[in-house]
Amino acid sequence: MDEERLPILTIILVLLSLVSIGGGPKLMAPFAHELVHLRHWMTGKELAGLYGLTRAVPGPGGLILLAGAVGGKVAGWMGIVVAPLALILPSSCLCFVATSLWQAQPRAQWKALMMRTVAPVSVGQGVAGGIAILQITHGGTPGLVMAGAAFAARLAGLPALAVLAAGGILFWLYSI
Amino acid sequence: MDAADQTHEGTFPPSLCAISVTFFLVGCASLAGDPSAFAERQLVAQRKWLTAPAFRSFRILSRVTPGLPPVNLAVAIGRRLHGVAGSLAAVSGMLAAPMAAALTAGLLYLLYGVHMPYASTMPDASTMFSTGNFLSGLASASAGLAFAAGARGFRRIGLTPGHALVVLFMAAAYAFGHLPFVLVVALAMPLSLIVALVKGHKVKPVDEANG
Repeated sequence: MDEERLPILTIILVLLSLVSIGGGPKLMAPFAHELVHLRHWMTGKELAGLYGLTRAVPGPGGLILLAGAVGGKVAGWMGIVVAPLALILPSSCLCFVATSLWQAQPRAQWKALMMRTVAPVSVGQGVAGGIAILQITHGGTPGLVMAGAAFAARLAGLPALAVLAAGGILFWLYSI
Repeated sequence: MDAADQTHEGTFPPSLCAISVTFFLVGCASLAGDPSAFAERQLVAQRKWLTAPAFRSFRILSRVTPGLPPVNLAVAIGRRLHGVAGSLAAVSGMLAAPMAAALTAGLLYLLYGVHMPYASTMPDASTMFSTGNFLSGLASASAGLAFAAGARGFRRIGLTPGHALVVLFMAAAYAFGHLPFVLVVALAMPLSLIVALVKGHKVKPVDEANG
């Protein structure tokens, strides 16, 4: 295991912690770019598979799992411990500092402006994440069809976990 | 309501233990999806630590600052209730259950899944074939879920041409321009700010917004 990987991974994760607004899929675009395309630390299929599995745990648990799994894959056991911390600590500290500013002006106009500025960027991060997942999965037409079906099923109100499980099982059956 | 207003002004700072336990419950709720409704019930209706507008204001803060909204919510409300120690108590309570879930899932994965931490160890060809396809299916479906989350975000903020432009720019800059992510975000933020400024005036005040 390359010893320089852990510090580099930590720097990447600290930066992402400070620019990524929201949960799991928002990290996939930068992960694919940095870990797969740029540094070849893992293959696209490996990263996509890891991400699919971590979706089984929603919310912060899934993110901790994703960071830990990527950290483990890239930098061994230390990575499992360091990566989730590198992802959660910086943004938490920033939020801690922001809280006092936020409380100081209860009905300030800049808050509404900030909301309207950040929300589309957050959506954009998620959409870029979805594209990144499709790119690194190399699923071809079946992959696109599956993504479309999952999109429709989720918007129709099916639970995320059910959609994921159906996707995995259908592809597995398809391969037999 | 009187009690709520008093606590709102900080007359009864709750104990660190109570903060930790309450956010532990919120962390448990996060395992089933977005816990903010549950957190609002706990903190506003049951414990009366915050007024509803104060809670909503913190919820917005948790969503506009970088990081995970549930974690940010714990940081901010913990600080409001009990300073630095309150923040630490809330976050550690909040993360206990997700951490346990992640550890369990990670262990199961290590025991039964691909040999994760060892980059060079490949599973043998037969299992690779079937699990590989299962994982590809999972991944493709999760891409669909990411798009669905984006569509839901649009539904929440209202789909305007300006917003669509920001999202399209980010998707194209990342996927086809292969720009680094931090740079994409750094370019998208001012673009989004301009869109927000142009569309400025018919906006609800923050406290009423249904973020």
